[in-house]
Amino acid sequence: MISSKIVKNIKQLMGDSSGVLFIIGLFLLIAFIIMAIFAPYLAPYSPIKPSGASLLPPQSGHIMGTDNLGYDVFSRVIFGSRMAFSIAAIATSIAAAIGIPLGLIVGYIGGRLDSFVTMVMDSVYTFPGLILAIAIAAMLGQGMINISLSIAVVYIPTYYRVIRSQVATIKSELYVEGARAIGAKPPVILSKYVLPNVLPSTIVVLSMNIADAIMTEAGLSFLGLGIAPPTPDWGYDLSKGQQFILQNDWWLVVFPGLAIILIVLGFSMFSEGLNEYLNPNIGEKR
Amino acid sequence: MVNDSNVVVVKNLKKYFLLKIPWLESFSLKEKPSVKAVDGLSFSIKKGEALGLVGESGSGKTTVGRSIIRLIEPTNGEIVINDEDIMSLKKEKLRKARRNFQIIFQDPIASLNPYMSIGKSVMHPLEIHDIGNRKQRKEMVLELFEKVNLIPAEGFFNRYPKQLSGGQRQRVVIARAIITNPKFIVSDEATAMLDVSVRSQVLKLMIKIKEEYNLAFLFITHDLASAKYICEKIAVMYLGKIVEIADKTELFDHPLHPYTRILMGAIPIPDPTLKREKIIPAGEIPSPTNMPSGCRFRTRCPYAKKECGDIDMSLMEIEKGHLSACPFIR
Repeated sequence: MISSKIVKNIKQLMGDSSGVLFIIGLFLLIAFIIMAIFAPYLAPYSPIKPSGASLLPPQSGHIMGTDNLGYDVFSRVIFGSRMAFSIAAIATSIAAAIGIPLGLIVGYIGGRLDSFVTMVMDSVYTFPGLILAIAIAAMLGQGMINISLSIAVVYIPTYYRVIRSQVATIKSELYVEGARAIGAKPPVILSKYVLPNVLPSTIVVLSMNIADAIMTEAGLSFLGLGIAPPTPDWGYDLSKGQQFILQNDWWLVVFPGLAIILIVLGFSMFSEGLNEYLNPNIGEKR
Repeated sequence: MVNDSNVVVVKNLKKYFLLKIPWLESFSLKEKPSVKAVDGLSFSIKKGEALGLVGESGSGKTTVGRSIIRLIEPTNGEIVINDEDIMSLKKEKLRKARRNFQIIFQDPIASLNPYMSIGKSVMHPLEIHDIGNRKQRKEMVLELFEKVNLIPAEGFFNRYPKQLSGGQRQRVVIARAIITNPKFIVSDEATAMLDVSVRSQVLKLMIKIKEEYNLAFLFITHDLASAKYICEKIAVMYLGKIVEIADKTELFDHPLHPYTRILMGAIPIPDPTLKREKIIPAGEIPSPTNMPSGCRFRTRCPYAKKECGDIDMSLMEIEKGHLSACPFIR
């Protein structure tokens, strides 16, 4: 019975293209999450110790080959997912923790404060994300927290803008006026009446931002502003691998690159599907 | 039971909305252009009495309802509710005083938070004003649910607004309005969006609650028939001014102001043989940014004459307790 229900639900999701994308994205994400959690069991070698001769092409024993120091590429790709997830998680949480309350409060108060903060946020927003992150990362230096911080700064305006515009419409809703009429204080109105109504759109922004954050992190590491080696990191491995690409050692760039593409793709598909599910207005338009 | 003590006294209430103009122009203008939504309203409501405020769209009824309880700040005027000078209250005091006066909005769908169960919605005023402990609060809510006919109360407590019908939602809103035991309730077109069968139930509920709590009630509506059903006294409003105010029976038997007569003509009477004088007003309600001089109704009034441009529309007592703003018809 249950299995037939699941089949029916999946068929329903498969009915339109976004449903298919959502499921593919979900599977990709689950695969990467499992990879990150069980990395020590899945990786055949240690990612930070040489495990064979250097620059071995893919073969049995080293299915993705080895790099110039003899590290197993497969093991480094698996452990790299941990770094990608943790930096993305820390960065988006910092961005959300600042952007969401700021958007709520400023959007609710409105007026001059609103114009001022929105102006500041918009000027941050106009910077190309990666360049801003590079500038901040260059100031702060290497390390997981520093990288997360510099990525977070880039995404604060995204949260701020989404939340503020939602709050601006919701604050004129009758139930918010009703809350004022019963004598609720502004913090109570914000947390009990406004926040629950803006949260669904936040979740979508959150999952989209994680994908972006992973890309930015890889970009920073590629430029040498990221994690200090030899900690396994896709971006760093990519930049190291491109030194050997003229020697036809393709496996050094293809596999970490593929990992980045798949995880970002997974998050994008997932958030796209989530958006359709949580935001019924989009569905109607199609 | 109408008692002699006034619960609500409003004197010369004004609400002007400033219009946005280019800032350069603002230097050349002496008086900033504004919409006079409410322009010098005075009335009082006694304990256990319902005053109907009737007028067509754009007459400023809703603005009156919201400014009396300072949901929007009045430009000027005096408001006393329950012997408390509302206009002089500071933020925190005003917030605390809100348990004494409540409002029921027109749209029952939009006036409830979709993400809060209706039990919690009704309980929230008690939490805000720190009334009772947790268990007592829930008991009070359940008791009230039964009173407003949301039965079984326990079953309704955890439901969400979208699971209820329009009439049920309006009953929830009414329950929320009376849970803090207020002295005064504004009902802003509370029945306008309900269909006819549900409307009479909700009207009956409001009468029951008014009697039981001995409330002063301001019943804002565009529908004279509902006002007749629920109110003891009726005030007719046109473009920010009260044009006539009288006891219900007096007003219906001897309407004085031409505008009131026109509104009366719009009430359908279920008697096809009845012939009555039908006056159709000319044109539409004028823009409140560009008000006619003198009597504001003169542009549409069938009895308008030259002198109407000079009168100031102040209410005169034509008969005892019956005030009208038209000096020519008595």
